[in-house]
Amino acid sequence: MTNEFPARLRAARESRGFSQTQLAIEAGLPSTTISHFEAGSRKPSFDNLRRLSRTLNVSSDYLMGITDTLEPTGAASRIARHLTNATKEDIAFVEQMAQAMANKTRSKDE
Amino acid sequence: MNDYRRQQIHAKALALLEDAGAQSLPVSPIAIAKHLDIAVHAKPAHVAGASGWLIKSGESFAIAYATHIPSSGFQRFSVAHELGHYWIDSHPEHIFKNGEMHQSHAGFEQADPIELEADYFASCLLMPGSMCKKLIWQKKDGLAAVKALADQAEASLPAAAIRYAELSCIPSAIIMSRNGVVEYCLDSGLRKEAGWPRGISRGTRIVAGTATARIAGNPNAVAACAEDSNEAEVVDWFAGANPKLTLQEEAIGLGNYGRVLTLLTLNEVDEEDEETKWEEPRF
Repeated sequence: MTNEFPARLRAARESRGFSQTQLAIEAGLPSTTISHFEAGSRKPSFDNLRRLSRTLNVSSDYLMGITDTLEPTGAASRIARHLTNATKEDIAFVEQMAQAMANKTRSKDE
Repeated sequence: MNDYRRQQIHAKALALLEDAGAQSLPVSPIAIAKHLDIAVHAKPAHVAGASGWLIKSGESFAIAYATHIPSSGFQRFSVAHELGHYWIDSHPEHIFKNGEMHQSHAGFEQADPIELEADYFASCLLMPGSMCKKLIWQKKDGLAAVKALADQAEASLPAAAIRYAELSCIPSAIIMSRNGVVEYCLDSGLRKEAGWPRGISRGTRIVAGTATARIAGNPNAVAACAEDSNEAEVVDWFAGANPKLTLQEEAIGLGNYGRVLTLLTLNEVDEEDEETKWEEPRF
């Protein structure tokens, strides 16, 4: 993401015809944030990525450089506190949740 | 985590509280998650394992938290910790650089920086300084203040003790021990005031005759959340400390958690004992 995010953000913003300030206003971010992101001097949070993704209508996975497609892929990611304690049952529960979330997104899109 | 980063994370927690309109204790991390359009699910109590998960699927987020530890403070902290991963800048980069499941460990002995950041964020979110300092002053300090903080903020005692040590003006140290052996010691100005003596490292045996040792030596006292206190010299706890300094030791059993929480607070120095007297300035 370090290498991809600034360039992908700039490309997505320009393709939508937004100035940096316009994008910041539309996404509900402080006005200088976009220039910092595109210069690579600040890195986004998940909340930032989600706001940018909604405003630019591209997937946050694309912005992060995880996928090359602009559309949401439904790919699931997880982070766990005390992951070393995770059991098979625990992981199965989380996988089920991720699957349900993906199904919900898919049915919304259809 | 350096001081600048701590300040940044503290500011981010305050910004989220303001954004979510959470301006009084207890702060509800679940209400904040809902405000952020993050679904929150309690794992069934029989599903042990990780204390919390942040799940991202496309542009949707969810938090799952463990309930096998029947402590509302622990559960609230777990949700707030995951909110930290969602809200703090640069966490996406750290989380996904090693694949889709982040191999992280939480706890005060862990060196994973984003876990320490998320822990600190959770502490600031659930116990913001602006809401907690007055409460601490009202309770005079010490374990009474820690318990009041835990009660008002609906936080666990260890989390409240750590936050207390940071917010209180009195130099203090927090020790968590199990079976009379130190698991971690968090110093908040006590060693500096005592002349930077040797610290208390993990694995150190608690000194016999202390309040902590008395509780640790009786499993029933630990289970019953018994309290004990002791007046001691700082040098009893920290080898090489200024021998004139004394401290107050307060210990409490943590019930099913099986550990003893110890709070050491520095006693005020008796000015009569000071070799150098204050001289009235002349103008």
